[in-house]
Amino acid sequence: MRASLQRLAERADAEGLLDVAYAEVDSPFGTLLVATTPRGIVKLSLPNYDPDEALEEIAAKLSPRVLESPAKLDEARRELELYFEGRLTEFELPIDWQLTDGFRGKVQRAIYRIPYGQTRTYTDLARSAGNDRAVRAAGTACGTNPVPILVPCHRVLRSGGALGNYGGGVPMKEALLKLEGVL
Amino acid sequence: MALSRYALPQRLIHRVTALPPFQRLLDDHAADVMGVLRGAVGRADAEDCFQETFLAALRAYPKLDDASNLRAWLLTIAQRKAIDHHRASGRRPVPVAEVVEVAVEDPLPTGNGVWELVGGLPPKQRAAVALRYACDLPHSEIAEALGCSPEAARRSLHEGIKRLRKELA
Repeated sequence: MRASLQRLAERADAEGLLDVAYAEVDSPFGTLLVATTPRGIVKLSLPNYDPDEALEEIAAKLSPRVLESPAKLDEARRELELYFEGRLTEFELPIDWQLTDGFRGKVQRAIYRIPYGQTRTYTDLARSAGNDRAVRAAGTACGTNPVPILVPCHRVLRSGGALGNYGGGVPMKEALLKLEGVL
Repeated sequence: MALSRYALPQRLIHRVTALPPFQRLLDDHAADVMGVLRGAVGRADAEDCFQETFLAALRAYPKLDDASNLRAWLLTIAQRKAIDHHRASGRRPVPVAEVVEVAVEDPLPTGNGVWELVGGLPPKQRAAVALRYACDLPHSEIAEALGCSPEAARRSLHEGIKRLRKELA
């Protein structure tokens, strides 16, 4: 049955019927769910989130043609592994921004540009997204980041230097910042 | 705000028509579909029919109106693929000397291995049993699928069930 399902995913892809491929990817923090469209990584679900909910969101907002297809995420798996080992500082994976829009989308693109090993404050982000008073909205944009780690919202801190929140839990944020040599 | 006036109904509509990720259909029903197809067309050809079934389903899926019985929807597609297969392989009707009317409305015993046994039946009996019990087709449509008379279909079904009962006993 496994071979049949793999063949099905390949044929679906060849016929343009595989709108979203996903796979589980191991990390030091637990299992990540990573989903890609032909345009790029569209969703990364951290270990403390329900992967089924992530898939339902994708089915509802993008397309219900969602198939598990680990082969389509080999490159994502490779880059993430290297990143967690401290051997990769810049992801080359393309991002598909379809699950975000508006001001949040602007903020998330600003987060995407924060280099490895650096941090910004929520205020910085609001400003670079074009509205320096929208600090709270910038926080929301971090909280609703569809592709954490690749869009490094863990590099966004409170103005006073406090860590602030993180979807994957504050200990994970702390660990990622240590990995990058910030803490 | 204007937004809230529209947001609620849209959310309700969404909930009624929400389709689960296609992978869930595979997780829940792929084994059943494969079992039914093995019964209907034999083990060797089931793989091809399986692929055709799910590719057709995937193609049609985003426009599916009613997601309340996805299993039945998939089995209906599988049934059509099995029928296509029988037509393509050109099975001729088998002449039947006498027509015996027998009621075969008893449910087929379920449980592990039944479909494996179905796979071991002669082709015509195998197809009749699968089309009747897996796809829920009436005798007239089984006859059409197999290219034989309804009486012949009924007889194939009866012989198949008789043989299964003997093997299960």
